[in-house]
Amino acid sequence: MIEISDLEFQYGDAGFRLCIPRLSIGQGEKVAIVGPSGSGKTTLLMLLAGVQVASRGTIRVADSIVSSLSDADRRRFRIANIGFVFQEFELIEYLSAGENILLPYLINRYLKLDASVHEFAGDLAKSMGLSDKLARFPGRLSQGERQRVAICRAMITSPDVVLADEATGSLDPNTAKSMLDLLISRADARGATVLFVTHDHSLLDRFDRTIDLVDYHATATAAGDR
Amino acid sequence: MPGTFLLARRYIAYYRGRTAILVAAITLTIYLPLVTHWAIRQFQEQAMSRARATPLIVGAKGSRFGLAIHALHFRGDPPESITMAEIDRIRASKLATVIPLFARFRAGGYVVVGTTPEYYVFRGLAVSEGESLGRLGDCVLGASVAQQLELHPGDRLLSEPDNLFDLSGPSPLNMRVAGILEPTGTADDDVIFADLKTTWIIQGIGHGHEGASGGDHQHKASRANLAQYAEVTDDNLQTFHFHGTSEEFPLTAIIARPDSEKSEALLMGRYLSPDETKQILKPVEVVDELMEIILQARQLFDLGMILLAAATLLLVGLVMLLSLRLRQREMNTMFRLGCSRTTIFRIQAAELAIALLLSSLLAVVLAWGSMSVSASLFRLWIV
Repeated sequence: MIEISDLEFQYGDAGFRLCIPRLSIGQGEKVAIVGPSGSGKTTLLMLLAGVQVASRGTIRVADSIVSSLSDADRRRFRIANIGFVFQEFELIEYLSAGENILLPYLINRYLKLDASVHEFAGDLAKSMGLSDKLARFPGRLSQGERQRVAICRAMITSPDVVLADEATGSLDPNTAKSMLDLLISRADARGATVLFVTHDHSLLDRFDRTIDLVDYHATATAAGDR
Repeated sequence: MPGTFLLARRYIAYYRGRTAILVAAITLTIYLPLVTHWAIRQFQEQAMSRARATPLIVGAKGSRFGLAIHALHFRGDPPESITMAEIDRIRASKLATVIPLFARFRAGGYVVVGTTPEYYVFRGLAVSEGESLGRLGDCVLGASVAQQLELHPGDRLLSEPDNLFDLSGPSPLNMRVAGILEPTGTADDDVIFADLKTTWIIQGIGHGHEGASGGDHQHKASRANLAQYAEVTDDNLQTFHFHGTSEEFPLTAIIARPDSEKSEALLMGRYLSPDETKQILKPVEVVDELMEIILQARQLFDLGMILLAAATLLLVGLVMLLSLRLRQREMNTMFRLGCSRTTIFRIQAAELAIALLLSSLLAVVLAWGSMSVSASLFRLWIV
């Protein structure tokens, strides 16, 4: 499903360098990515999503060689294949929870927003216990509710790959575990692969595999995680 | 993309305060030049239409603008008087028909215009309440005057003395309000009309011998040098008479209506002599000159407005740039979710377009409202 070979990425002359000679992740696999701050966890997710481009090597996700796509094609690939859950959830403050869930459809002309999508969004929200919160703005939601909205948004396009960047970092341990379970169960329902960046080692038992970026040739900078 | 305008609308609705400030700034930038442009145009149209409708004005030599403005709009200081002899002179020439105007005095703060019935026909004035002038001492109020002074037919209105401290001067005339004119949207709404002879009584040229005061108690008061006035009643009407010869009676202007262009040219030619103590003018030319002066001032104003608009545009640009910076995180999120830079730009452009649309609508509504409310102001501007 995901194949990385001879990957090399460097941030200018800042000294940060991520090198992954070979990495393979299977379809539907749930993988935790750990490593110290600045080891390149977020960078790896951005490379897989095609937000950033490797200076060398190959990244293959499903049938696409992401590393060789044009800007526009990488964007199309991202829309079609990737679901994101961000560290701070990154909900749009001026949109309701329901509109936040539908956001990928509102901003991408390749996705058609029709009744079936609305129905699916409703089902997702229901499965996450958000049915009565859809009209609320993010500012009126609890951390846990915001997190669930973010997961729904990541799943609304039924992606093949879900990339979560410290998505439970701001939640208490119990909420974090239940959120992770929700995410995994939704991904399982779709057969999606999950790459989950975390610092919380208590969550690792929920994953099929853990990748520690310290094992790869990465050089940390003092600026924190990239 | 349907989401573009939805997102723009949601942003604007959510950040109402921010949007309101932006809209207010753009609205003012549009409103000020718009209302000024409309106001000047309306002012020009009003001033020019009245000037166009008045073929010639004859008056004492002096300020052309002063004579034209006073004869057309009854504004500013009255020009030097001419006499009724000038009426006879024009009539004798058989070049034009004439309408005399004597507008030197005030009552209730408004100019009293003494004229003949031809003036009402000439200006198309009609009585909406009461009746037209019936007898000496009557007056007919312009619509605005009646409204402001809250007077009705049958009420009384005292003329203001020419000089408060001249105790030997003529007594004010207590006029009877005979009627109220229909509103015309012109200077005729803001004056009091009376018969020419009535205004000469105010001037002190004519008077009555019986019942010259308003009753016994007023008579007593007059002896105590307090308010004293003359009043025309059914009882004393016959006693009113004028001293001197009628050709010496004063006028402030004459409206002359030549029957042809040739007559107009001939009549104007008769006032070209250097020894001539009167002047004749075509109001449309004088007002046109006045408009040119106003237009020059307007050009300066327009320049100011252009600078203001440029400054506002720069500020709006700055606000948008700062907004882009503030929303960098939001933009990054959208980008990571697959949104193109073009779409992000479109969303921002849609927000600006909505703000511009709101501002434009608001500016037009405000300008329209301002113009509707202040239509009468343009008459007042003519001083």
